[in-house]
Amino acid sequence: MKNIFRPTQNQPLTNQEIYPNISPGMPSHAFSLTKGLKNMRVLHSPGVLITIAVMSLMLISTKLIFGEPRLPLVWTPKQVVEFVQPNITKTVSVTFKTNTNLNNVTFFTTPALRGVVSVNPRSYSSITANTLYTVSLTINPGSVSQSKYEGTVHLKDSMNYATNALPLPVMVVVHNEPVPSDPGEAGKQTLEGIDSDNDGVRDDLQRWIVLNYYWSQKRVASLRQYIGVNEEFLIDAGDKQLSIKHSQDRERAIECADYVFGLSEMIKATDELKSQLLNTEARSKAYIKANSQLGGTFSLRILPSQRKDQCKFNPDLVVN
Amino acid sequence: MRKRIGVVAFLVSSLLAVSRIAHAQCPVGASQTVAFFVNGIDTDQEEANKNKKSLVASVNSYLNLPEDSDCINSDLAYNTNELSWVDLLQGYVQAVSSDTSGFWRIMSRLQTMPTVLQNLFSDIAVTLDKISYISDSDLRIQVEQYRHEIQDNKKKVIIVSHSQGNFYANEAQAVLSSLLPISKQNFEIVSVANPDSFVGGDPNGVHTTLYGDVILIVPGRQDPNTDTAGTLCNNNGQLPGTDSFQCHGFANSYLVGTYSREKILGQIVNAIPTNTGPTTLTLISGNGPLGSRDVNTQFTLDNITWQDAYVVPNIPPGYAPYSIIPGTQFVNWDPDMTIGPFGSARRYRTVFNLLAGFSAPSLTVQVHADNVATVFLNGVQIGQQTFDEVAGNFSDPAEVFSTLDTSLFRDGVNTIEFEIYNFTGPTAFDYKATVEYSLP
Repeated sequence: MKNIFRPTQNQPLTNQEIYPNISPGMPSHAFSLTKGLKNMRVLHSPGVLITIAVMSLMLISTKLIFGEPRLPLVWTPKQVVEFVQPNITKTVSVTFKTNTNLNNVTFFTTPALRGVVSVNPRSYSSITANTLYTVSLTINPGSVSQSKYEGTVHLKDSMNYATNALPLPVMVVVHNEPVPSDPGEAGKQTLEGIDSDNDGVRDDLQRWIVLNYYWSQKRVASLRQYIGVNEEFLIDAGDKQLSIKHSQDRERAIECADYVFGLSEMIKATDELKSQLLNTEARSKAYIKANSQLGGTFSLRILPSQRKDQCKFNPDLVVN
Repeated sequence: MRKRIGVVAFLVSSLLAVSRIAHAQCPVGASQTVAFFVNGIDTDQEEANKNKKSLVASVNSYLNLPEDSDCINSDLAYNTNELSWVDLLQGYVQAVSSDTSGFWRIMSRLQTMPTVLQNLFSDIAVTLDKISYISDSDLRIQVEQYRHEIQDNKKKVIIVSHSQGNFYANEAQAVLSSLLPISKQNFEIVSVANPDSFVGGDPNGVHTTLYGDVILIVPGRQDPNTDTAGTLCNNNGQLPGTDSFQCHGFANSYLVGTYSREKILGQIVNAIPTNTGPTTLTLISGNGPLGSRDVNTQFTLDNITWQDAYVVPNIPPGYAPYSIIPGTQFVNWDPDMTIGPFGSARRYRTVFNLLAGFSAPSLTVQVHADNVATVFLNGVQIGQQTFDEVAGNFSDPAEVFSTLDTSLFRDGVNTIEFEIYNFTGPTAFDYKATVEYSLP
């Protein structure tokens, strides 16, 4: 790939270019420290140097006396986002470890999660540093669909109720339709991505739509219509006729979304979703290729009064 | 000072708002009009379509109509440049992130463009002139669509061109005018953020460009002329500002600016025929400064191709001055008014548009010519000056020819032709044509 920047103005300089006298093997923070001392000529005076030496000694002594500062509690994964259907209980396993020994600790969930998320075991009489512990989060969503619960799980010291950093962020979305699990990095390896439920929408995009619009069935439906055709637009980027066909279907989907969302909200929602769709260079290039097939085309001239007719579902029959 | 500017801005907006209440209904000519949005380089087809939708909603709002009114017929004439997009994307990947979601958020103007990418965008904009940007095949398709609307559907075409879309609009106007009679009666460009040096078909070059827009980096562009209040621009300078890409946005910036919005929408609405009842159209020769082309009067040398006539002085070198019909200027096929051709004629034409359902039409033509003008309406002769080499043909009073014959008038484009015969010496002519008709 060619470098398209003007080298003198925009090319970021490497550390080696900035500090040519530093050996390449030296860690990066050493560059800045050495460079800083080199430039701070005022520090060369004996008085200042003695002061720095005394302060450094004090810091080292403090560390020796009081030990290492408390490091964060490490959760894996770093956050939990779960989609569940009403009245269907789901259990999720997470692990954590600390770098200090702890005694008599209890899990605490923030109020928004109580009644929905419970942690098992609920407490530990002792935690050994650097040991992996597995806990289960039991999600009991109840009967109310199209709702979201968001909060954190804390590991608290039973004696003083101080939270051991960091808490675990948890988000539970209750939705009528099943939502696939997060494909993670595996979902970015191909142009098509992963569509584990074969519904024509990539799993990561399906999750994004429900996560952001769980409260509105018609919004979810219209965004699925929009993103489904946009995915086909990527896949068929090399075919001019298919690109044109997909762009026309996309225009219909946009008109439908306009009817459902209103113009300004539709533009924001579809722009956000499109940015999720085009999250890799390969996908972005495919999109640009498909878009380049559309030069010299016109729109479908769908009148505002015909927007609803462009939906593949009847928005008026959907409650919200 | 700031307070005073605020008060003035409020008064201006209030006056504009009051003046718009008068519309409050779809202009009668809207059904006979198609507004095409022609996008710039920074817009993929989906965004261009959204810009078109925003434009329609804005026009409806301007006319005090519901946002979802069907008043305006609109279309998108899309153009794109793949290499520029790929360059921008590669720039993003190299300078910002391999996760390209952010790139599309920037292009949708959900987030601001980093300086490094803005510099790259400027570089691309500078290197893309009309020749390198326009795809001939795309242009041909667009021109054919405009011709179809004007000739076959008898409609007026309004082009709302943004950014590099102006290259397409101006070129389309030039190609169209070689194919059929074109004037503001049937084709008009509303130019926004114009990188070109002119506006096709408009000798006054009316356009809307915000101060601080990134388009100002392009050599030869029209000057900025619009205050940035309410837009995404962050300065009122003659050069691009630090957020000049945001500033450049059509829907997010131009259509929401206090002044830019009024200018653009006002120009569009004024381009739509709005009158009911008796209507008068006035067509004159000499639209534009001396030496320029008159975009409303064309001539042909071979009866096949047509080009805009030149605006010339009423004093031919070495001869007595011609009389001038008030408000007009003389036009000629030769800018230097050289002698000739002797003993032969040149054909000129101008056009007007009649909306479907018109009634009681009339046409009155005043003309001065050196030497003899013969006037035709849609191919039928309606008058001729004295066929002789006499000063009376270019001296006051002007000859007046008129017709009330309804059968000579057509829905859509009507053509007035002038056959100017020259015996000897220089030649030129001026005219003023008045068309009156009624709409239900």
